[in-house]
Amino acid sequence: MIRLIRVELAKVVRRPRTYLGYVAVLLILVPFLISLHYGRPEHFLRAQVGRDFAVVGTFFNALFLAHLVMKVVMVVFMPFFGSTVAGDVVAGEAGEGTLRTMLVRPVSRSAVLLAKYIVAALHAVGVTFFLLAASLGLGGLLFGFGDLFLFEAGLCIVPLKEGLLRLLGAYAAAALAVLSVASIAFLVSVLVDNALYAVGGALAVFIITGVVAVIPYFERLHPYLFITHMDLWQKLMLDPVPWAELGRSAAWLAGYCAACFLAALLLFRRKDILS
Amino acid sequence: MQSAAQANEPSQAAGAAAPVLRAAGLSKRYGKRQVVDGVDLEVRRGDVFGFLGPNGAGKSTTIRMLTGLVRPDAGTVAILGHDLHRRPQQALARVGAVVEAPALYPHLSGDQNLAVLAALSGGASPERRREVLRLVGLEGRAHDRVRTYSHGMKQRLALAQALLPQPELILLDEPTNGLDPGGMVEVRQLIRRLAAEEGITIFLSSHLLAEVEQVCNRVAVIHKGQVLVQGSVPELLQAAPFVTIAATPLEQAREVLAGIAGVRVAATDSGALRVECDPGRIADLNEALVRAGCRVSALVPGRLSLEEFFLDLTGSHP
Repeated sequence: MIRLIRVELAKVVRRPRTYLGYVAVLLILVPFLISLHYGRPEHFLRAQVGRDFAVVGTFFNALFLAHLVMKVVMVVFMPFFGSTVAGDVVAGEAGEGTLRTMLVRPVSRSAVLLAKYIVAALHAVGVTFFLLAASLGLGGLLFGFGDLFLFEAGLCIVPLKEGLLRLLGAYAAAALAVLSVASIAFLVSVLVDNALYAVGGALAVFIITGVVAVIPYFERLHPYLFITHMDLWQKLMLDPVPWAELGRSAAWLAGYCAACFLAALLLFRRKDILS
Repeated sequence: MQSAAQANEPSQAAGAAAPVLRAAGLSKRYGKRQVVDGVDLEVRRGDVFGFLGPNGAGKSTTIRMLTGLVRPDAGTVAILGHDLHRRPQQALARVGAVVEAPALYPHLSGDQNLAVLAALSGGASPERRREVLRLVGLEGRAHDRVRTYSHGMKQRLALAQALLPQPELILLDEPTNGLDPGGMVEVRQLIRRLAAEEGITIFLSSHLLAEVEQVCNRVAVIHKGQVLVQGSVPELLQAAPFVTIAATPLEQAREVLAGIAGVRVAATDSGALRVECDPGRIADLNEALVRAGCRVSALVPGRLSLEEFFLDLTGSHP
């Protein structure tokens, strides 16, 4: 199994398109860096809290950036940067025909699929943490480190050390949310011969679920939609942290990931490789 | 039928006489189209087995069923005595295959491709990889990306990939498709060499009669998803030898030939007669014609073209 994962990893890391997600993360940081560099804390405060504050010094720092970026990109963009490899690992190889070259070898299809899922998951989690690393790195370079200012429920100032811990936890929770969308892309990837369709399919599911999630008529469905639980990382920014809610959302998302993988496994084991 | 029980036993127990590959009653339907319909195949140790049929006859689907890529609706496949459906890993352990056009990782080098594909099933040492690359004549380009390879080189790398696990059986799907004439000759020579020197049993599909005649000793002909005949190549293709005879006057020649026992004048086309007879009697025919005062300008022993062969087999001769 370890050997299969290494094989999949070797193929993925040598493929230039694997790094699209990472490049996108860097590009997306640019406008944030510009706005924090040239903008003034007062403006942010007015927008966030709705009142004017007199600010002495600044709360613009690496931690603030890492948190601010997250609020914007975790909603839609990150799940898709995190899904590119998941959508590609099966469909891409089906499209290129290398899937048949692989599967005529005496190898278990289940083991191949599990190795592929693990690599896809590593990418989804990796891209998410890359956003944290890049925000802290570039933010630290430009603005330095300091206490984390949270405006979620009134104003809450979290000391640097705890702030870093909370960010780490929030990104880990967000990685699970990204992984759940990647898992949908992975499932679609087993059904199609083109990575674009797989990621597009996941996007379609995401949008339709998102629509259902805002229509009051479907209110009774809301607790069961994965999209309802995707903002779980925000709970780590509340004081006190609602751990029970957080745990429930995490369990839902993990369940969605497992269900997608199992469905993919059932389909892949029976799939006729025609490409 | 009495050897069907043997197919389920391990190859060692069944001995050298057991077929390397046996398919029984393979069928596959896509939607309304019955692509493969009850195909039986038997490939014996040491065979270079040609699987001959026009495009769309069901060759590729059959090969995909023989390699476990496609699940048959009905029928069984046993390779080296192992049931492919029930024990796919044992069945495929000593099998190499190239299904359709060679599909490799373009962003990896030839050697990396082999390493990645070998790692799926136990791995291959760098020495073994060098050995197979030398065997297919790619040792000089081993570290170039496959993206830069010609089609013929990719075909040879795919063959190298099939050779990695020291297979007893290699399945090749249209191995010369898309190659230039030089590439075709190279690949055919390689196939013959693998069979003769490495003792590998080879199953290859083709729509080219000449190719099968050149490299195969046994053949099965598939048409519209069904195997029409199966046997040794000379037997099958020489089954109805004929002679094309150009002689004047043509009508008189026809009468003379029609009068000889064991000779059948099949058709007249463009001033010549197509005569079905034993090729050993050509001289007799010539003598008879000359005696009767006919002037014979050509006596050409013929073989059926693939097209005619199929038309004959399917009974749809115009």
